[in-house]
Amino acid sequence: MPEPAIVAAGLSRRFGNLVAVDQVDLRVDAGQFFGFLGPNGAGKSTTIRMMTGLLAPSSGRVELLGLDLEANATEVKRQIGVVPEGLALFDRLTGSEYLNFVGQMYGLDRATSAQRTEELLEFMDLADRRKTLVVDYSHGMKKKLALAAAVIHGPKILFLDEPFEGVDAIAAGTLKAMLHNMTARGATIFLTSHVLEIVERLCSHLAIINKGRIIAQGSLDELRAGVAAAAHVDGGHAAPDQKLTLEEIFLAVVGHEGVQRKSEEELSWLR
Amino acid sequence: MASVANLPGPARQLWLVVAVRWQIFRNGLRSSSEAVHTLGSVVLGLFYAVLALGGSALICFGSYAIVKTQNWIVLSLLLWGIFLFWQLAPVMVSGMNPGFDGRNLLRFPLSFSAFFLLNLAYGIADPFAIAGILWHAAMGVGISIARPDLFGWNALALGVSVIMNLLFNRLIFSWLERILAKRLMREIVTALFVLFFVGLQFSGFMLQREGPAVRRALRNTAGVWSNLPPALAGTAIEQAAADDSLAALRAVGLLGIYSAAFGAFYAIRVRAQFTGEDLGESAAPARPRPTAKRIAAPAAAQGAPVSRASSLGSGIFSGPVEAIFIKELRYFYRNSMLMMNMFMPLILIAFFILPSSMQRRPGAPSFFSRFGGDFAYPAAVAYIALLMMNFCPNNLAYEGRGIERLYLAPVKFRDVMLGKNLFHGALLALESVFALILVSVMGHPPSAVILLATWSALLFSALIDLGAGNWLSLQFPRRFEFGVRRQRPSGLTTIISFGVFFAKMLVIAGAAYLCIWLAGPWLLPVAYIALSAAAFALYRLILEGTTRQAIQQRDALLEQLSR
Repeated sequence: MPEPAIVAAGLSRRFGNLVAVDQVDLRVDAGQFFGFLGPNGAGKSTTIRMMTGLLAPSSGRVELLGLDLEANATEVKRQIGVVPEGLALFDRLTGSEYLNFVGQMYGLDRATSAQRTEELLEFMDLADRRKTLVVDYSHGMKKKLALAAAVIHGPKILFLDEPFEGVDAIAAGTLKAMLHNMTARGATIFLTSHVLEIVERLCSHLAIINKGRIIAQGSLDELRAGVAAAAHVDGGHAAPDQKLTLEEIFLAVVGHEGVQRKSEEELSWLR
Repeated sequence: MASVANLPGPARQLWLVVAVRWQIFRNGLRSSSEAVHTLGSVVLGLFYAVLALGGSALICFGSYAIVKTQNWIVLSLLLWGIFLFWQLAPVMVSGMNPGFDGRNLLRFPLSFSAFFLLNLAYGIADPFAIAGILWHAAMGVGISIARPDLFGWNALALGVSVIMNLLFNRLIFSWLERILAKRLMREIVTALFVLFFVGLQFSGFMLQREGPAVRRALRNTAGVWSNLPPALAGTAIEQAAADDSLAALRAVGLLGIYSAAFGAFYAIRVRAQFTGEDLGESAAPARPRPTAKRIAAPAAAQGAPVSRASSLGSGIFSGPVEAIFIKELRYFYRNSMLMMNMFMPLILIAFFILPSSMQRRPGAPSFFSRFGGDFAYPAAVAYIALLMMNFCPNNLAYEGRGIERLYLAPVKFRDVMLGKNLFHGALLALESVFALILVSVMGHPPSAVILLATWSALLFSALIDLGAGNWLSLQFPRRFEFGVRRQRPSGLTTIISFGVFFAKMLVIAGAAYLCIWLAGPWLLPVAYIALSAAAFALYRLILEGTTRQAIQQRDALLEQLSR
């Protein structure tokens, strides 16, 4: 059995009376490309923030690479890379200065940091903007820079919160190839995205969160089989061997009947 | 087909905006850090209120005396003073009022008149404007008590003067906002500000040396400056007192024309904003690349081993501390406001000393001899410490979303703060050396005892400031934007910083008094070194606690700085 890279046990987070994340249990094995899906406000970013040390859980624990995050924060953070929702950029540094800074913050010596900075800027197609301040980058360029910063130290786990949003198709293709290379060499990637086609193409395993709770988890085929079987039991038409798309799985799990009803019955003044 | 709602009138729109601002303020109080900040603002507000009311009382009595003695030129000068305060103080001092960012409102079908009035209302909300209005009212009360028959003219002239001041202030700020939107212009304007303040220092010297000539010139040009907007209200009241209603009406009318002109120019700026002018530093569009280069994934992404913590070139401090130091240096030279804080003390010290050096006649007491010879350098260093330590109590202010990186990176906050403190300490040391050169070249170097005492007192002061600054920065963080002048830390930070400053000065002065009384100046360095040792222990205690404090304050810091 493969070693788990990410384990979340009973992870919860409350903001006042609101329970944003409720008793989340997750296990992601080393080398997996893991997709974490959910509708808006389901608790995806909150979960990622707790798993990367940006937010303290109200209860539960996170283990990364076998180490408890709270007890071994520094050692764990050294081995993970993160592209958070807000990108965590220093916007008055140039792209090159920022990557060098992050490299050194992760313990790289100056020469290695400089060398990797140049390679990453070249790879991300940002080499001709290396001396431009981050504040003057476009949104897509900032995303690429944040991704470069997340991998500069060669992390064993990479957390990506909507990494492809605002990135052009050419760059997205290059990034996907890079991420595949990383998983092929044993790194684990934990990805959230609303673009279900990308998740379907990249991820081998998935979890779906809704209203703070994990409502489905497994490989894509396992989820497909589960949804088809449920539909069959409910008298639906889907057979267990039917090849459902991730969008169909997602809507079936999260509950798309409500969406249809709402669009048909409500907001009559818009018609 | 859905029907489109009818637009509410400007008054209703104004009310809606006021209501939403109030709701935002109330919602903000749900966060404890915002509540603490509001509490601090209230305390500071009371402090400003006392100052403004004190000024009002003085102006009221002054105006009464001016009318009784018929010294009308002083009334005009007083109005000039209020005008300069109203227009210049908000530019020079960090203000309390939030900037009006109308762009957020443009998505709504807001009428231009409502937008214009809202913009104007933000000008009235400024504490300096409130003080200006209060002082006009106080002047009116003083004049009316002295000459009740002038009440009508008085109210009319001063009322129009208030409108003129308000419109001029908004006009200046709207153009400043336009000019300062571009980085290059910001740097140029900052340089001009420095020159302006340097000029002010010279003007004091010039007035001192050329006093009679300046007074003569002022009298000769009275016809010009008394017809300029700030003095016109005074002219109108003077003419009304002399029963020349036509001349009084002419002065008020001229003031009204000036106000209308300012209002028109201001409306042009507001109209530009209303039609969607974007003053933000917009992101540069990415240059299209003709072909996508396919290159090998970088080593970092090919499973290169995870980095090990290493010590960098300096060998003294860890890599992250050095990285923070370099980042602080880069942020410093890209931030014109911080750079100004660095150069202003030296320029001001030079110009405090220069006039007295230039005007010294043989046998006359020099600046140095007047201050006991040796005390020029300690005074200069105290001034530097006072201004430079502005950096400390909110030292995460410019991090923005970068604060998340500091939490994501495998570093302790102790190292982050140490890097920042080393940078601030280095700046302070550099400044004090520059000041020493300046004082030595323009006067004479301090004695060895005074030099040692100054440096050891500076060390004590810096350690206290850095320690308190670290604690305050984590406890009451406030986000600052680059290139924006009117920003201030949390109200509580300001109050506690004042407390720390006075306590520190009390200790330094008390130690100096005791040492000189007990043994003589030679004991000063010893006493200050002993105090520095105690301050270092305190500083270290606070520094070591910052990692834990940063974890406790994580939510507040991320919310405040990366919003």
